[in-house]
Amino acid sequence: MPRTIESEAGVRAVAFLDGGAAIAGWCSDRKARVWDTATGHLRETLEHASLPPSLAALASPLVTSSGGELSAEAVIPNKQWNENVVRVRDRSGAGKFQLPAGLGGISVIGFSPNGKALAAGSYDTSLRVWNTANGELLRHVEELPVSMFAMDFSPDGRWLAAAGADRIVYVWDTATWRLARKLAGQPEMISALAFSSDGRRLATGGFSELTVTHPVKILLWDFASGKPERTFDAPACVRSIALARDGKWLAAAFGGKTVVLHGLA
Amino acid sequence: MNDKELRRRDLLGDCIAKGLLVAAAPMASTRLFALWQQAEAQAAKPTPADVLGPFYKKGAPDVSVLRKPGDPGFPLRVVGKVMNTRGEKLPGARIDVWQADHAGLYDVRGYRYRAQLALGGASEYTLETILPGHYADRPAQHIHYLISAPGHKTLITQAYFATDPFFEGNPGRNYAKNNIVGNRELVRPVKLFEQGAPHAEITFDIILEKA
Repeated sequence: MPRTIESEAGVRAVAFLDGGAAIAGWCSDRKARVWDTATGHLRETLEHASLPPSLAALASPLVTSSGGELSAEAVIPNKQWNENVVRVRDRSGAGKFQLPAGLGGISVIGFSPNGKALAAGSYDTSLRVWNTANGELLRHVEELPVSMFAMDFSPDGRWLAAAGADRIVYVWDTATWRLARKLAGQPEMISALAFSSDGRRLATGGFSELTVTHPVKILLWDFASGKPERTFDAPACVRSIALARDGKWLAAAFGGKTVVLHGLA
Repeated sequence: MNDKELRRRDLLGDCIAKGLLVAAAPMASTRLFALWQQAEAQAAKPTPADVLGPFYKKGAPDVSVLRKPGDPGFPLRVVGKVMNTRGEKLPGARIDVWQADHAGLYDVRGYRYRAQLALGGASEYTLETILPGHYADRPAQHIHYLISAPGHKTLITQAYFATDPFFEGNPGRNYAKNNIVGNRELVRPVKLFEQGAPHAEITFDIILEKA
């Protein structure tokens, strides 16, 4: 049976800390809460400035590279929706780049594990990857039919996986930025995606076309074979998913005031 | 008056003072100023923008008949043209439209109720579709638009329906309910045609701003 942790505020992103001993949630009140994984007790509440790196990387709309050197934020000038801009700042907060990033809003954004690349998907279905040293566009993916709602780099930085409305996980080789693989099996659109810390597993969470409150599935994949290993039920559209370093837990958040923990051991 | 209007006023005043804007016949500068502003104000305002949403799909077919024989839902015709702010046609305009089916579902696997049209010289379009259903997470009936034309800013917007129960019979008062519809102008009056095959019709003209 899955365990449920209650949160005071809606949880938008989850990450494990301390090798899996704690779980942190980025919440709708722009604060993070850290719970003890074993007991579910609240350990502390944190402001954005003091987030642990693994959560700061997910604390959309302002995401931070794992070393904290850079942050990136999606901007929609004048609420016109016909121009997305990604603002990249350095540690001091000074602007580094303003990157044009398609139109219709940014659907997903994140840094590579070493902070050298920044990737962002747009609701116009395009996906862009930039070199964070000089702002150069490394790859502009224009061939996707639908928008990507979720994305993660493998912990070794070798792969970029992204998925969205067509239920397929697209995997790019970051050495060449060529599309390397496509994984199919999620029964709904995909709204959450995360690698395990050893890169051997991938978790994806669904988003029903009916409504965000409709039940969906969470899939745990063997990344090497590209086959789903396990399936879990989720009560609603999965906003964020995380796998514990110790391999014992999978956590999922749905935008509401709960985090669900599935034991994997 | 907003900042942009104030700047425009300063600039115009400057033009008159420097002799860059002069009247063909003798005229006081205040009268000249007023006439110029009046003429400028007659330019139509660009159509307001609205969100793109998560379900845009690239590569929709170039078809104006979206409804298939036997499709459930109330038949709807959408007519309109794409113009600049001076009301001139924009040959080369393209519109992408997508909407939910009668049950409020978007087809994300295929291209049902999705089209991409190249409008040609007349810069006009007609869509034969159905009244969209109510998508549960955004419960006002709507059709999504993405419009582009050479030399003009791309516009992302939506058309809504004044008859939608969502507006409770009073879109003027209720259009802003639940923060779904950003602008009253996007809520279109619905005409009902009962002769022959009954169908509803809306007009949705689109005015693009210069790039």
